[in-house]
Amino acid sequence: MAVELAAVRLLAPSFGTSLVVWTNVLASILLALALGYLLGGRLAAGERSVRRLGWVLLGAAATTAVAPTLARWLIRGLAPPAFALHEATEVILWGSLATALVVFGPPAVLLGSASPLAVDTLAARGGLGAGRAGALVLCAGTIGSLAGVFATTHVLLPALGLAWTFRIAGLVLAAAGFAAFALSRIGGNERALAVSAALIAALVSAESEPAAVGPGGTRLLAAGESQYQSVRIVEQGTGAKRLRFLQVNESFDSFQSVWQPELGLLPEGFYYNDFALPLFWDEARSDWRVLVLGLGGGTALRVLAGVLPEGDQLDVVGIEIDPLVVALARTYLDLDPSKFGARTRAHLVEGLDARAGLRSLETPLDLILLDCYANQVELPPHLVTLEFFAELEERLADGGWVVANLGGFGFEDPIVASVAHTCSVAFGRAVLVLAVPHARNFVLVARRGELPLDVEGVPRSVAGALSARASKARLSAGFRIVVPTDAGLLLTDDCSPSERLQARSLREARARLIGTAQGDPR
Amino acid sequence: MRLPWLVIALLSGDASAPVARQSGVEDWRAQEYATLQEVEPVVRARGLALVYARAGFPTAAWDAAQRGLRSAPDDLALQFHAATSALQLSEASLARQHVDALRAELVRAELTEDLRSEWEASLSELLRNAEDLEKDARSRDRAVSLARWIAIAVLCGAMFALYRLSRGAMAGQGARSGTPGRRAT
Repeated sequence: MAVELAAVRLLAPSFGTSLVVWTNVLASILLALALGYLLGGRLAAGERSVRRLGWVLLGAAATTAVAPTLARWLIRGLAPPAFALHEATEVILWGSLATALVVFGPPAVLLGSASPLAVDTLAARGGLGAGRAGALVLCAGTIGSLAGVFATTHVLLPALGLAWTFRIAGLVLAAAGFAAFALSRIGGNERALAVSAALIAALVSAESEPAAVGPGGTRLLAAGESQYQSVRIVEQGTGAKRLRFLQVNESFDSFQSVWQPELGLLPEGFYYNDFALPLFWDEARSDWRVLVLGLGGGTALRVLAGVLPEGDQLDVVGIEIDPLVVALARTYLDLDPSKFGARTRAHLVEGLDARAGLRSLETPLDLILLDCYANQVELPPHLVTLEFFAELEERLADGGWVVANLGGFGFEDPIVASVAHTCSVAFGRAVLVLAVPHARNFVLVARRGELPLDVEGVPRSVAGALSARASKARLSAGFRIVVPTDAGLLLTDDCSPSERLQARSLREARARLIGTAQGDPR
Repeated sequence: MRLPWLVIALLSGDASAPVARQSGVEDWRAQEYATLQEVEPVVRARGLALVYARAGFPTAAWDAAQRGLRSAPDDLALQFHAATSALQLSEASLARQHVDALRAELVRAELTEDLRSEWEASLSELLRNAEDLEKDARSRDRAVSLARWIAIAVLCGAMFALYRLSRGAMAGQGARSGTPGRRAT
């Protein structure tokens, strides 16, 4: 189980941790275990089983310890270094399956074959019946798995990282293998061979870690493993034009947070700028109580603090589920409440899910920013439902706003369309969807009150820093108004198939382009 | 009706001028684009494609260019917009298709020497970008193909091994339990 958990994390930087990757890893390991059980049964040979058990465990130790090195080598050939998200489906599906089979198949076969050998050893040496021997082995194996699961998630991965998690799993297995050898009293030659095999595995697993280069030639500043994901900070550019990105798992061509040296608007193409539109649309309000769900590295907070209109005040609560993200952001992305200026008060809450965090707040809010993603590209199913949007609406003050970031390939994209429809039904009124220029993002704007629409149904312009952005929103390709009576898929707590929608989104994006080229007016 | 500056730029400028040189529309203002609805469809498509491309909406620029190309497949500017938006959307084969079409139309078009050399400069840059994109696409396809073959080969090997081992196990059990007609292997 420890290897299974760490296996998914090992694949994450290249293939992510979506359900497809989990399925491929679990399927590969289950298949290998089935094979291993039969192999173990074939190898079982009464008195000699304990010696064979030693060899099998030593083999499992070696293949486990070298898994990170082997995976890195294999992934170089199977996952091109840079490709856009919509090109990823096939790479993720086949790349993760091939890597899981080749890298985790051998240790799982060997671990599977250990069980019948252990049963046979207990039966032959301890004089136990097959039932009792099997029960003991199953019980010991399950308790070992239990310990491995907890140790991997709570201690090994966060504290020691991936490579050492595999090495330690290898060490434990090697120790068990040598214990079996001790029981079987193997000869000098065999002992020398076993020690040599262990040393070679240790050397291969100790191959140097990858260089400090991030995807696409960016500079890698920091990286770590949290309970939720692989996290890293990369930097590009120099001086005042430096940009730092917080990326998780596979990254592809996307990121979770972005930082520039100055507070305020980011270069065009970053959806965070749109989070500030309500500050300009809603001139009657000057004291803004803001909740950021999915704070990440604090980008939204830095944008808001930097463009805050004269005389306005911000009181922000930012919630981020992953403490490692906050820790890295404090060091590398200036996520420090004292640095946002005198008119901004910020309170950071880490380790809390957005929905649970929302329920813990009682004060009516003027602006809720929703920027939560799981597995990098998937909207968490429980954060796009009718019930959740209804909860958001309840927490809003009169005239309060919700602004949400949605990834998608067009207004007809299944994710964008269904989330906007669901939000519109929950609010019982029209919502606005804005296409972000030069990006694959859409920003959903809902309000407990009238939206800033003029008679033509387009958003009114705003003055100041965001006026150029707002005028682009007036293009017919720049916005869409969704009303509750529009047809659409309603996402609920009971049925929120966001993973399926995500897969459809990736699949249909290209079909829509080709359809237009062939005269389909979609 | 007053013709807004954007329409003036599109109508009065030489429609065959390379898109990069149609600088009159660089500082576009969105409210004026609406009047484009009233002009001739190909000019409107050209204008919309340009506005959307500059605004950062490549999908909309692609759609506008495709609409225009249906009635004017020989239009250089529309082929250019179709190719650039396909490049921005990382669609290698679609980009290549329009770069090739642009090259073919350029051969047929009657242009002054200056205009031709400007178009050719634009074309060679598009071609370079399309080739880069195609190279990436080929390397991605190779990687996917390799992964697929490895996965299928390992799965087939595992299934075969399962079959052989399970047959052996069943035969072994039969022999031990004394089932008539079975032998341990």
